[in-house]
Parts: sequence; structure tokens; C-alpha cells
Amino acid sequence: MGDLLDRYDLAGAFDEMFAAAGEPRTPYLGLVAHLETLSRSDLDDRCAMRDRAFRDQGITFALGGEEERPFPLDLVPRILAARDWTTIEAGVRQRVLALERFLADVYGERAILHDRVIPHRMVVTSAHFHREAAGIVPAGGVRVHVAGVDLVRDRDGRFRVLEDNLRCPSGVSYVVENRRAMTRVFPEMFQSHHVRPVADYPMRLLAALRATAPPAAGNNPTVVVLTPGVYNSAYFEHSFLARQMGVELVEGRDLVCRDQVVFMRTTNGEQRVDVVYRRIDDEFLDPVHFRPDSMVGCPGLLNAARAGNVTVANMVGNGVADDKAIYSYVPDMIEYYLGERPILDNVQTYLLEDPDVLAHALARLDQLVWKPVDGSGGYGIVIGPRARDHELDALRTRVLADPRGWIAQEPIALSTAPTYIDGSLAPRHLDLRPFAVHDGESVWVAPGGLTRVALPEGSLIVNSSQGGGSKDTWVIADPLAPASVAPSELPAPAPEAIDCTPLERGRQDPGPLVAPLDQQQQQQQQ
Amino acid sequence: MRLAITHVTGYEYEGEVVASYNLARLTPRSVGGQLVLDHRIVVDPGVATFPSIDYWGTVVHAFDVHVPHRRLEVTGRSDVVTADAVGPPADAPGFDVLERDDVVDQFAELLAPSSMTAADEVVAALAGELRAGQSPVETVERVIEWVRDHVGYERGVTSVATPATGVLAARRGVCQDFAHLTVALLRAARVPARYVSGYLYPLTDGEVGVSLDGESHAWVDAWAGGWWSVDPTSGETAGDRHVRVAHGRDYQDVAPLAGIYHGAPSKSLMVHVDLTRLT
Repeated sequence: MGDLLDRYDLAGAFDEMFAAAGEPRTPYLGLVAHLETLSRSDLDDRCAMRDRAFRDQGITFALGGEEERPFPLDLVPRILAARDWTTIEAGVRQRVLALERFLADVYGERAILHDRVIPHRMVVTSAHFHREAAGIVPAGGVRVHVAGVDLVRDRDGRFRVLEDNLRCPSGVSYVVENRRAMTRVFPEMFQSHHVRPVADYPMRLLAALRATAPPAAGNNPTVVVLTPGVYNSAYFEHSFLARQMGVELVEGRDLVCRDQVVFMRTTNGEQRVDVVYRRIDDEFLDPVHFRPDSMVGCPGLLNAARAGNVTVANMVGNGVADDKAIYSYVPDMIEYYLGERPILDNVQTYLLEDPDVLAHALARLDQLVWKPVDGSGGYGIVIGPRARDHELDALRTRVLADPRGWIAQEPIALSTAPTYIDGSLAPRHLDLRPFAVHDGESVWVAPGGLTRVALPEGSLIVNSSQGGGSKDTWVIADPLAPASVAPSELPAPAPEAIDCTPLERGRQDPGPLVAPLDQQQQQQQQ
Repeated sequence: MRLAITHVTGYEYEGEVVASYNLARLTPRSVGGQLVLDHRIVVDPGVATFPSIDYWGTVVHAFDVHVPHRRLEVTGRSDVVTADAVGPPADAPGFDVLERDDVVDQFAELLAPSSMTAADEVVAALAGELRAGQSPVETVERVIEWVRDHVGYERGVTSVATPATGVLAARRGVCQDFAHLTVALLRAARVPARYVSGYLYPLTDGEVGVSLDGESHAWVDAWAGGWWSVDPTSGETAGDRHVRVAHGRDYQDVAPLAGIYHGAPSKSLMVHVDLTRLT
């Protein structure tokens, strides 16, 4: 028997696994029981397996000039109860649909501005409001093909939206690869838990990209993934998605626009391209309209989109909708466009243009969280309660110089979950980025998402660019709902042969199971 | 006044150019009393153009050239009946109205500094001085008067990239510089303002049928309860000698020809505007 959890102290925040010391929450009963069978050396062995699995796949990660290391996946999964997932899924879907409508509106009629639901100035002063995209009607009707909506869980266990990512949200490759690694490292856990699969994400994305191709593309549109190149920190993900979707991975120099039509240079001559899933930021995407010195973009792409000859995913200009000041209006958008109440709440946010609000917020400088409105990746964030005096002084100067450039938020404790640190399990703060895919008809939310963990004790910054780790995220299938399965993930070749009852419900033995061939081989090698 | 306008612009290169992508804003629209009877745009080497309307309501022709060329020439020909001068709005409101929340919000992007009209402390202080005790209309008049009194018209001192603060420092410039400095001062004085690009017929009593060398010209729209077009280079309300093509926050929103290309460096930019009075 292991003692990994014996000294687990709740950190005062909502803990994902434990309702109170020694009292696992229901969805975690099976996992806790399993962890109790493991010793420290067992877990270290599994860590070595994990690192080997990632290295074999070439999934490494470099932090600030350090040497490449395996992507930091914590081996203790995060489990989302079916009921919580239902709320998240509906809330993310609702949010994406409202943001999609908002983007169509601000680059079109601007009704929400004329109706004074959102002030003009919030939109026209946003650094990511790209007038170059005004008047473009996307060929497939979609601007937000992929959204990553960052959620945190407050002290009461309620999920709240921290920010929306509608430009080039990244991290989904880690969702898929984390799962793959976990099924190799802990095959037995997947036998006892009916975890909803994530491996079909690339196929879902491809289907959405194809569905939103220009009508003239016909039944077999050509889709490409456009990357800035191998030196981009997310290049692994770009190549992963292209490979998994079975489409070409291209750089700007592989594409050429002529008369508002996009072509790909191939060894067999030029081939017309219908959909560009681009992972290049707007500012570098099309030097005709944006930075003329961009060497990674595709000149003419935006006019091709304007002409309706190509679908650009995600669409240019989406950043105005994930501006952190615009964020505070998303609940209003949901009411305005959908006539619904928001399913997921925002975090209490202060816009600082109003001098009274600014004064009040600055008076609580050391109590609030401060974020630059157009930042991403956790850069520039100042957490008041954690900041030193000189950092707060510098912050005050910067905020006063540009109040529109900042928001202040009430700090959220961020939930914790047991994370394997230096030989024992300790609480670490985490968030959740579910990925949504919009095909124009419906929004599909990949079950789970990327759980990011702040590895330093007490840290609230989960971004991988800031040294965060991740956890495999399990949505436990509702036993009453029809199972949707991806064969590559299941620990058995025939889904219907599986006992779908999650262990914790009856705590019964999951029964005999057939493991797929590759996992058997893995186990034999031990 | 009815004018025939021929605007020829383009580049000569030191060698061959093979891939060139461009946006041309050379097309007047029928707006605000101006009537466009005919317009066409021709590119040499011959290519098709793709027209669209941009955020500011300007017609943009996009085109790309893939045949090797050493010279790119774009010609816009227009037949336009110009609008008569309209002075400042009657019963123009005071700053109490211009500084009302809803008005400030509606004109937010025309009150905020843009890259070429950013205000430094000198511009802000000057704007405050010119505005003190004045109505918005009087503020516009004083700003124009100040710019004309203190900035000399001189070619070759400034470039297409000179911002308003640079004009104020140099105290010299051309119509683009007069317009940028005026816009910067008006915005700093909390009067919504935009940069206008177009053409100016050079004579007040030109002869019908005689073509004259003209210029690509720039002036300013100021909002003082209604839009008022004023020409800081001449100091007059823009009128029937002005042909409006585009407006925006500054030159960058209205550049008549902008583009990128692969190939030899550009040797020279040609601009020639020919204006003929038809009535």
C-alpha cells in the first residue's frame, strides 16, 4: 500500500479530489482507491514511462531558452463529473455562439453598438479590432472555428470564465497526447473508468473546416494548416493537427494568391486551397493588410477571404472579442444575441476608464489581479496580493498612463488538485481550457479540455509559457447516455463489450477486460 | 463644377518585379452632394482589379501582378460633379454637447490619437490654449488659423511618414502635414476630426476644357454638431474645387496606392494628377 496521499493538506481552496481531508469526492473514489495501491517508487516508474512515451513522440517543450524537456504532464488525472461537464459544455457552447454573433455584428452592421449595449469606444479602441476585416462575410459563415475558453473554479466549486481565446487557441494537441500517454502509463485506470474520448478532436476539426469551405469548393475541399514554421513554440501542435487530419502543413511561402484565389505549390504544380486553418497571428498573416515586413504570411489571403474564395480559420479580427475589457460584456452579448441568461459566470472585473472605478481599484491595488487587455499567455499579469511594493508602484504608473489597456479582477482562489511533486502528492492550483469547434451548424466541445497546473507551491499562473504543467482531464460518461467512443483510446477493441459502469458508482470490480495490442506490449516490456 | 480627373500613379523599379500586391484608393464616391458620373481604373501591366468598400466607406481596388515587370502604373479616371461648400453647422452646439458621454463614445476613434496624429505635450498644450473660451466652431477656426500662421508650405522637408508632432517641430510641410497637424490639434481639443484625401482643382476661375496639373490633396473634416470640411492649406471651407476620395483617421487609412512586392528596389514613385473643368 502506498502513502502518497497520507500527508495531503488541503490548501484552503476548493479541492477537486477531496471534499475534506480523507473524504474523496464521488467521481474520484475509484482513482483514490487506485492511488492508495501505489507507492512512491511505483509512481516514479510510471513517470519514467510517461517521459519515455513523450520523448518517443517528440513531444518536448522548451522554457525560456532551456533545453527541451518532456511536456510536463502530471500523472494524477483531473476528473469532471458528468453533471459539471454538462454545465461547462452548455456554457461554452452558449458563449461561443454569442461571440460568433458579436464578431459578425462588429464587422458588419454594428447593431450592438448602435443599441448602446457595448460602448463604441470599447470596440474601436481595441488593439485587435481590425478594420481590414470590416465587411467581410466569411464564405462558410463562421469566424470562430476553434475557441479555447479558460475556466477556473472558485472557492464554492463554481466554474467561472477567466478569458476567451478566439484567435489561435493552442494546447489541444496536449489534450490528445496526454490521454495517449496516460492510457499507456495507467491502462488499468481506463479499465475501471469510462472516460469520454478526446482522440476524435482532429476529425471533428477537419469536419468543421470542410463544412465551412466556400460552396464552390464542392464535396472535396482542400484544407491546409498554415504554420509560421518550425521555430514557433506551437509547431508541434501545427504538425500534429495536420498529420492527424491528413492535410498538408504549409508555410506562407508554400501558398500563393492570384486574383483572390489561394493556391498551394506542390510537386504536381499548383493546387487550389479552399480552407486555411492558420496558426499565424493576424498581424503577420497577410502583409498586404498588416505588417508589410512579415515573412511568414500569405500576401492576398484576406482579399481572397473577402472575395469568398477561401475560408480562413479562425477569421481575421477575432481578437476584438477576446479583448479582456470586451470580456466583461460577454454576459450582455449572451442576453442581447441569444436572449438567454449566461450559464457560466465571469469573474468580477473592473473596467478602468471610469475615473471613480479606477480610483477604487487603485486603492485596492494590492488586493486585485491586474491584466493587460490584449495580452495572452499570462504575460504582464500582476497578482496584487503576491506583488512586491516596487512591482505595484510600477503597475500603478502603467495603469494610470493607459487605463483602457488594463482590467482589474477580484482574485479567484483557483481550485487545487493533488499533483505529484518531489515524491508526494501536494495541492496545486489549476484551471481548465475546454476546446470548442464550430462548424456553422453546431458547437462541439471536446470532452474535458486542457487542465493546466501551476507547479510552484501557491502559484496561480498556469500558463505553460510560464512554467505550468498539465493533467489529463477526464469526463466520466453518464452511464445513461449513449457512449461515444474512439477505438484508439478504449482499453478494449469492442466498445459494447465493456462494462460501462464507473467504478465509484457501485465500487464493483470492473470485470475482465481485453486490452488492445499496443498496451499489452507496453505491459510486457515492464 | 464638373471635373474630369486623371490620376496616374505607380512605381518604376531598378530591375524586374514578379509578384506585386496592391490596394488602390483612387475612386471618388457619390456622397455629401458630390456626384460621380463615371469612374474607371486601369492597371499596366494589365490585370483585373477586385473592388470592395473598406471600413471607412472608401472604394478599394485590390490587384496583383505576377508577370515580370519593371514599371507598374495605375490610372484612375473620374468624371465628378463636385459639391458646393457647406460652412459650419447652423446653431452649432457648444463643448457641453461635444463632451457629452454619448457623443464622445460615438466619435471615440476620431478623438483618439492615431499613429500619425499622436499628440505630445506640446500639441496638447497648444490645443488647450486654442480652445480656451471658444466654441467648437471657433476652436476649429483658431486651429486652422494657427496652423496657417505657423507652418510654412514647403515641399521636400517632410515625408509621407512624418507625424503631426514632426510637422509641428519642423514648422514646414505640405497639405498632408497641414492636415495631420490640424487633426491632431482638433482631437487634442476634443473636437472629432478626420483626415480627408482627394483632389483640388487649382484655379478659382479655370477655363472649361483646359486641363491643369493638379495634386493629390488632403484636408480635414471637423465635427461641430455636423461635419464641416475645412482645408488647412488654403484656410477655406472645402467646396466645389475639392473632390473627395476617402477619409479616415490619418493618411494610413486612405493611402492612394499601397502595396508589397518581390523583386528589385523601387527607383521612383510617380504621381500625376490632371484636372479638366467640364462645366
